[in-house]
Amino acid sequence: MSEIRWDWDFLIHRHLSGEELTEEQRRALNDRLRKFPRLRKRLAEMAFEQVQFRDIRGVSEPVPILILGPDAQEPATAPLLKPAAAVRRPWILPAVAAAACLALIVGLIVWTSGAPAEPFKVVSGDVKAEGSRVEVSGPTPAFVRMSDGSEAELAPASSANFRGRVGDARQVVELNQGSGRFKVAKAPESFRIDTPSGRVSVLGTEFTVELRKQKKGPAALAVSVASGRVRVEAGGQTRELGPGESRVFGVEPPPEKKEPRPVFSGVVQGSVQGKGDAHVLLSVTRVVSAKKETPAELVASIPGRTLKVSVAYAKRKDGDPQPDKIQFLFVRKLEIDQEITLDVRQIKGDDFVIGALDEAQAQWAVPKEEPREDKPPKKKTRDPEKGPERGNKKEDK
Amino acid sequence: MREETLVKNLLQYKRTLEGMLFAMVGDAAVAEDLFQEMAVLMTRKREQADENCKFVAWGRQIAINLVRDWRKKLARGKVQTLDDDVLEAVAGAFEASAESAWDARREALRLCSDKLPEKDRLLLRRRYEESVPVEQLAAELSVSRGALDTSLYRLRRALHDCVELRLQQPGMS
Repeated sequence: MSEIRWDWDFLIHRHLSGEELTEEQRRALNDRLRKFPRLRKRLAEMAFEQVQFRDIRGVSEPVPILILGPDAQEPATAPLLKPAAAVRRPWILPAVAAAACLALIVGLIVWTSGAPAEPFKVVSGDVKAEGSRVEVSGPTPAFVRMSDGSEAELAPASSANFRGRVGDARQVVELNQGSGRFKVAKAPESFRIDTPSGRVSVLGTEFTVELRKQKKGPAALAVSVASGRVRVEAGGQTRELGPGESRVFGVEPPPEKKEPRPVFSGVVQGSVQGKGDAHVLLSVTRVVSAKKETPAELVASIPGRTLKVSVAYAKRKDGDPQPDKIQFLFVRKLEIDQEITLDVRQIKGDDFVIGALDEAQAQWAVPKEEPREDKPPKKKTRDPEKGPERGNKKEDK
Repeated sequence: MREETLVKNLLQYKRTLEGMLFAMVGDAAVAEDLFQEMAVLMTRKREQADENCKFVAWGRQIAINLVRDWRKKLARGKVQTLDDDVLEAVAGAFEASAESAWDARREALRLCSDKLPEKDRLLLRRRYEESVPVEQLAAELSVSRGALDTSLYRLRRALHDCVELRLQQPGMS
């Protein structure tokens, strides 16, 4: 039999595309990778290249920044810039739509100019300025120039604190609410934007910051970088992002998937100790058989226990779940101290339901073709001439 | 290892380590998340690491453990392409090449991708930069999923071959 000649590059491509290989392909690829360092190198190179694509093809246009305080309402006006259609990943896509209505935008582009003498100066626009705090009160954006030459264009209803130099940062802007478009002067020291959900330090030039509301807790901070580098500190994490990278910080963790609790499922033998309308108390003497997924410890714990075994309920298309009629009749017929074997399934603790009755049990519960003297009376045949019964009732009255 | 050394190394070797994780898991988004976990772990354990330790070798150990943990958490029955023992060998391939070789490859890739026709560049961008699923992209381009997958494969192989050629040129490697 001739050996299949695989296209190893294609198998690697499929692996790196997240595609499942057939078992035959998978085995062949693994064997080949074990034996040939050259193919391992090839896989490494192709993986490396794919990781690089994001940077290599990174956009060069200025990218807007979105900042929104978690307590901020929808922006009073439309965003200054529409977010650029760049660097979208599936894991941030759902949030992008939600963020659209919350969007407040800040654009960062390389800019240099002479520095004014004051820490900051409102160049134009109606604002309420108190100390370092600036609130835009007018219907048009306000322009603020900072001491390092950077500029901010704050949207209506925005508020920010221009802190000037703080520690190692040449400029710190606390954006509390609203939006702004920033032109950041290039300088060796960092330019920082503090938001209630995190801190973004500009080490390079172009990046996007967005605060996304979550169901619980503070807004998540989404950052994506077009070029240069930024450092993000949020939720106890510090991370530097480079060109083409994006990351959401402080995202609510997905609800933990609970491992299904192991339950007993199998056939037990025991005697009836008590009865209710739709359940029986069964004192188990032994486990006849257990389904393979039932852990051994659980099987061993069943004998000696008195289980409350109820009639199973079946869901119905047209309404509420109804008890299984045959099981119901079976339970009714059982007598105290009667020895039975029963297929049961654990719900919780000592609460069980009947799994399935075997044919003999079902036949015992509802004998077929058994001549019965207490047959229900035959349905009355209606006299067509009398009309509907309701009418008759009325007539009776 | 001092904090600044760790940050410097993480920046320098980020793409190599992320590529290593990606080669093992075959999912770029997962690789990115695992790299983030790796950086957190390294930050926690930096004091145990020597200032001059082989950073990629240290990262490789952490990467393998992270990938194994991730695989354990996956839904049961989900078949992983690479067997456990192959993971180590694949991760080792990243360590075998010098960082300068990866840098040269990156530069060659940039030059080669610049030479691509606009439609191919757009395809690469949509698929690998914007991570648009193949199905969605196929629908956008009105081609079958298989045809698109084949195009992507050919494109990647052509790029890879171009990179190899460039690396053989003097001054590239």
